[in-house]
Amino acid sequence: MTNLRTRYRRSALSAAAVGALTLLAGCAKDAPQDTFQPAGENAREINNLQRPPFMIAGVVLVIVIGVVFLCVIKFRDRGQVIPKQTHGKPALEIALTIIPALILIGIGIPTVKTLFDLAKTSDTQCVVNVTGQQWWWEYDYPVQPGCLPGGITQPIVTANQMVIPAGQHVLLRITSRDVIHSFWIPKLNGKRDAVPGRVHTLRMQADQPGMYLGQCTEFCGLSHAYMRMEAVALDAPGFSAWVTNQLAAYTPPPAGTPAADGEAVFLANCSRCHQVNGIAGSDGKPVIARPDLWVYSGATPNLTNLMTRTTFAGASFDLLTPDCRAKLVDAKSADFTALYLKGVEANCLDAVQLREWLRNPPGKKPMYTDATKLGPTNGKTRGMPNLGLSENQIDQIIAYLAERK
Amino acid sequence: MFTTGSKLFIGASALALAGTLIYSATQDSGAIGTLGLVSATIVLVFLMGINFWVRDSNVSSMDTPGIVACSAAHPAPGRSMWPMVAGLGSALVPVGLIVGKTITWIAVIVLMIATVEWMVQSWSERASSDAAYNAGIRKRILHPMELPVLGAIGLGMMIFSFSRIMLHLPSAAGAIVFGGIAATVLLFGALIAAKRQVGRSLVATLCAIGAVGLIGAGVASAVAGGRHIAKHELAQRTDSVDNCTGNESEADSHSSRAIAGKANLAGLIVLQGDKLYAEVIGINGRQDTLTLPRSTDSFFEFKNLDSGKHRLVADLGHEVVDPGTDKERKVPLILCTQAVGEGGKQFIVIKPPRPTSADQQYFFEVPGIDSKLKIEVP
Amino acid sequence: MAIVERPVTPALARGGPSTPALVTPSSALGVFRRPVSSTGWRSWVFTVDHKKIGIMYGVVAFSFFIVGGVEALMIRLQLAMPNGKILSANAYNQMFTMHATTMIFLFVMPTAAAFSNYLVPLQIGARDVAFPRLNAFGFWCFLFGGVFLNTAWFLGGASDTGWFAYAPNTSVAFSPSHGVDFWALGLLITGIASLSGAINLIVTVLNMRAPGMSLMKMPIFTWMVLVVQFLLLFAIPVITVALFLLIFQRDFGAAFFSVDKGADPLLWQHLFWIFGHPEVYILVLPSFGIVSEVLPVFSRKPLFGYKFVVFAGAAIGFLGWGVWAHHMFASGLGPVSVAVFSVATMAIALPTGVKIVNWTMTLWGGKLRFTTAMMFAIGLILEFTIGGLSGVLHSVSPSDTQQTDTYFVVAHLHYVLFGGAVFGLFAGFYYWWPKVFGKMLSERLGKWNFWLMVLGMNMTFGPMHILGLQGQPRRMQIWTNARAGDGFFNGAFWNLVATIGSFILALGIFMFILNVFRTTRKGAAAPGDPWDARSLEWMTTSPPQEHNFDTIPHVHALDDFFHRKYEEDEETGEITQVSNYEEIMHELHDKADKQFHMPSPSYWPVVLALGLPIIAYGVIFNRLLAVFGAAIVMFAIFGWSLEPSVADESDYEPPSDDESTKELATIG
Repeated sequence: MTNLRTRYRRSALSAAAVGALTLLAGCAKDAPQDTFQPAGENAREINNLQRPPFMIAGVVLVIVIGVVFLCVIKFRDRGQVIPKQTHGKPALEIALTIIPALILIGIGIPTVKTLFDLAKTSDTQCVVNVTGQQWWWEYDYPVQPGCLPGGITQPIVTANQMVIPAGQHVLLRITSRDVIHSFWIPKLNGKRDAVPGRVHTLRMQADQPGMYLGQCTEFCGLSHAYMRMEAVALDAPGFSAWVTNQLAAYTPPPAGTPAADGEAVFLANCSRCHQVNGIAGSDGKPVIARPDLWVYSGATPNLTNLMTRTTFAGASFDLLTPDCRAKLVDAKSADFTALYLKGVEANCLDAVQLREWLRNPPGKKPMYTDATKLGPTNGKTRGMPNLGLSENQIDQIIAYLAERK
Repeated sequence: MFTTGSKLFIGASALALAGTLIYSATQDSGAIGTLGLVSATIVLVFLMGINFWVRDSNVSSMDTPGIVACSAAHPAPGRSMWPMVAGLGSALVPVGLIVGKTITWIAVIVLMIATVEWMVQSWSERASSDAAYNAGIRKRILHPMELPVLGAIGLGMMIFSFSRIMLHLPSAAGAIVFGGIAATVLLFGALIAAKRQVGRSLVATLCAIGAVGLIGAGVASAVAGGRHIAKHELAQRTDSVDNCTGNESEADSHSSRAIAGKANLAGLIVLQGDKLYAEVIGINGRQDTLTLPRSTDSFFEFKNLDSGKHRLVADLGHEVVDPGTDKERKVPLILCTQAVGEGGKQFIVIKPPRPTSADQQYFFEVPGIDSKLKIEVP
Repeated sequence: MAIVERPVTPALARGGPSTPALVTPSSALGVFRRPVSSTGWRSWVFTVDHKKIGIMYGVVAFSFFIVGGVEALMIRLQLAMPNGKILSANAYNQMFTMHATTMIFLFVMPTAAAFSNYLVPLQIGARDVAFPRLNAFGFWCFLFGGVFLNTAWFLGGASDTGWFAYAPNTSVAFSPSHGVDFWALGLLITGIASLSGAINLIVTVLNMRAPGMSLMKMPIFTWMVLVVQFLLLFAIPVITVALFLLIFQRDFGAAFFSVDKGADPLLWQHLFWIFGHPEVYILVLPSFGIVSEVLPVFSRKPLFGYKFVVFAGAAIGFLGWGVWAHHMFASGLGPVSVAVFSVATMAIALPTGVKIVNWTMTLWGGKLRFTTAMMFAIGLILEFTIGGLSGVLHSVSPSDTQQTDTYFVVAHLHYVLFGGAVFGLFAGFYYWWPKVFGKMLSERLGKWNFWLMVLGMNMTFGPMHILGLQGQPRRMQIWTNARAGDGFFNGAFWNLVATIGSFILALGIFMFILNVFRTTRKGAAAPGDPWDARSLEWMTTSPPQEHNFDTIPHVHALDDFFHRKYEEDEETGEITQVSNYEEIMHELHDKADKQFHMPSPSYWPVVLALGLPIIAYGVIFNRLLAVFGAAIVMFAIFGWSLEPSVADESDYEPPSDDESTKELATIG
């Protein structure tokens, strides 16, 4: 029996340890999606709200474990007489119901208050439309008086990385093109589902410039694990510069360079789905991509400024080499904006990933592109099919894309 | 009395005669058909006569005293309606072949039912010498089939009658009648439950009167036709903005009932003082430009605060139909809501397929009013 | 097919001597006779005995437990290392969908059904359930439904949409394999099992209790089962409606979840969770009942606050209907709805807390014997407390928007369903095994089983708290080092720990299987009352005879069996033994009833149930097959309704004056 006793003690201790570890999890170092390390007002409000209940839960757990443990050692069968057949003490029962009820009221009131605070939209300074699609996110910046001193006069569209001005109250209007997704940047706010046909709002605010990672958290089909997002907060001048760059006119690559060949390959293979703003066909007319004719969910990432964002394919793969990526992610917030605005420079471009992708996209990330199985979607793919590009074509396309910043 | 066999031929003859009359009345050029049917009628009447004369060549019916003497040994078959129904069925078959498929099918079903019932009944009557037991086993076999079918038919008739009545009545009266019938049923139920001594026959009579009344009213309502029911529709696709000013349809006075259109809208579009403006989440004030994600269903509510009826039109440029084939062509993508009176609302769902560009611009507009909302699709 | 029974003697007699039977129907009119085997496979397949059905439920459910467990191990293997390569994305999605579906619908629910079927009639002093054939039908529906669900693996892939199957991801465009069809139809079939079982047990409990057993003298397990059956009765129709909408959406072109036609996909979520949340209590309450039986026996004290536990169970049953939207706090319902459901969710913590308090207080002042059953029960108190507390944390809705759909929820639900439901079921296995099979499970292996399971489950699910708070979402085929973080709490380390833990857990469960095998082969015969138990199911032989009790006992108190054995001094509360199991059994045997009214076996439940998956295959592959299945169903209903209530005398040992034979009759 002593053996048992130590075993119970051990189990009680390990259970307590699990509880304590759970609380300590908030102190983890460098966890990009830690839910206890807020980097903005909204996440901080949640964090302030959730810490006390976690503590209380820990304390209650320790008390329950303690009492059970006490019973186990104190009342084990040592040959004592059969105890009195007590059927309960209503007073104790009621007391032990009222106390937790009071605790819950104590938790409930701030919960409801925080809930309504986090639903406010009246203090918005900048609006971003967020649209989920299997399996990437599109962000567009509506025409509005906010975000910049002069407002945004021409809409901007980008993908995978959402750029926001640091410090501002940004409001995301989230919707979906196909199934339900969920938008979540843990350090900036809780999650909100992207439901087709509905526009849901989510407040975002980042205290400092920097990169905040997130992941789609509503199961959205085959490639759910590859649907990620990165929120990038830039300081005000930096954001202004980013907007200007996004709206800059298209500069075709100089004739005779590999990039110029790449443009031709791009026009022949890519531009039916992927838009590059301002690109013109051989007849000089602007080429408008029609992804809705080829892709079931109706859109593909706009590649006009691909190299200003550092990831591709649902933010699953980096355009930066690991070193450059680490440098960017670990940059001090004061240096971050400048570093990010450089985009993907030639010496940082990780062409390996991009090349693998262009060789066979469904091999790199699971997608529905098998032509024999597209009956239910009228032959339209969900994701990027293998285009059968030659190595030479791939090199040319990469040369062309490397200039898209 | 009529014997079992002659009942079959009576039925068959009657139906053949009916068939002859119907056929000759409806088919102009059917001399041969008429002739055939007349012949069939004559033959059937003849067979009926013979059969009646020889009493089904059944000893028991020819020699009544004899069979009474040994009734204990072999009871006479009981009364049966199935021969007659079978006759009806077989006579309906040619009628159906002439008049139409539906009647043929009905005839076949009637024939099958009659055959099965007839067989089971005659089998059960020979099962033992105990008539009560024989009736019991017949029920045991057939009730599991008869009761659901009769129940379904009865229920179907009641549902049909009731629905016709409800469709015939104006919607306000419908509610009253509905409540009234429910209250009556409840009242009678309560009365019967409270007064246990109420006779079965009284209850049966009441139910029968109720059923006859219901079915009668139902048939009358069905003949009189349903009331006019307003349509609720979503925005209509059209080829040109000009079409959206056209005549009002009745759908115009009813707003859409799309479920999704009532929650978490992409925006509100208001017509006020001959001006169109939008209210969207997150951007304060009245907007004259809306930015929407491409290829995404966006739900809007259109609200008319001006006098007169207006329609909201979404002009989304062109759409390519049958891409990559010979039939590839562009068709205009224009949607218009139903007309909305002062203070009214209407929903519209739009899905701009391609981004806006210098030569491809999208608008919300109201025909006849010089105010447009620009739609930007990046 | 016994279409018609032979006319019984009184019918002939009524006619009198003047109508001698010239033509008598022979039993040959019926092609089959009612089955009568009392040995061999026929005695199991055609049985209507609630005990045999209970055992079959248990065996089949445990087999599915192994299937679901292997699926879980595959998932953990895939997630042991970054960028796992064991399963493709498609296979992984099917794996976690089927893991949840199997564990919930094919293991925990039917195992609870096994216990309820076996024990409820015994605990209330009845000889069988109210509708024995319906009971058998329920079991076969469960078995065929479960097998049907799993055949999807071999017919184009299982469902890959998660057990929650959120629309519109379940539409044909997004889930083109037949997996979702198999899933929806399979759950419809097992739903029939749950629903028919619920009706059966409710009627049984309300009508067939032994004389003197008022509702408040009913064993607590039976009470919890009763609450669960009411939950099932109202929850199963909701999921049935939802599944029908889904099948019509997929296979018949309906537009219930098509956004472009004006539908709102949140409709599915509401329907699913109105079913899904009560489902959680359906899973966990039977185990609460088991634990509430086990703790008093091994503490030698009555359940502390029996009435409070009963009312807490009922309160959970009611409140469970008002909290479904806490699964949807991130769905964008708007702050008002979220606030309401937050508060309701907090409220449901109270009755749950009451139970934990009462269990602990049952231990307090007792005389505790640490048998394996008791250890599992105490394990449940602790593990469930962890799950319950993390559940309360989820009711803080803003905080929930950080934790929902992360591994924190996975940890929470496994502490509730594994630490709660499954531990309770294992406590039940060890506690009732001697009663059911007449042999004692080895306590030594039992201790191994318990400790390995405790260690394994805390190692598997404990780290998931950390992973979740570190932001690792659920249902991801891979995780990457890039987002795992550094330091002690890095996801890579804890993912590996969880995987190792899952194998320890599997080893623990293997110990149970080993224990069962060894016990079956050379286990010691169990005494009739090995634990000095308190309730009626122990007041019969081990295993019980087919008719359960020689005579139906009259009940005078809660824990009637205990009070027959012991007397309590009214003033001092001192307990003295006045009788024992053997004496009580002897007394009962002396008063044994002369005639028992036992139901006869039947072919039709199994035939009828067999028709259902055939219809389902038909809906998926060929409508003609569905017609064939429907014909089988019609045929079986027909046969069932025509079946004579009594097996033919010539087929069976005829009733005699000797008390050892049985009169056969059936109603359901």
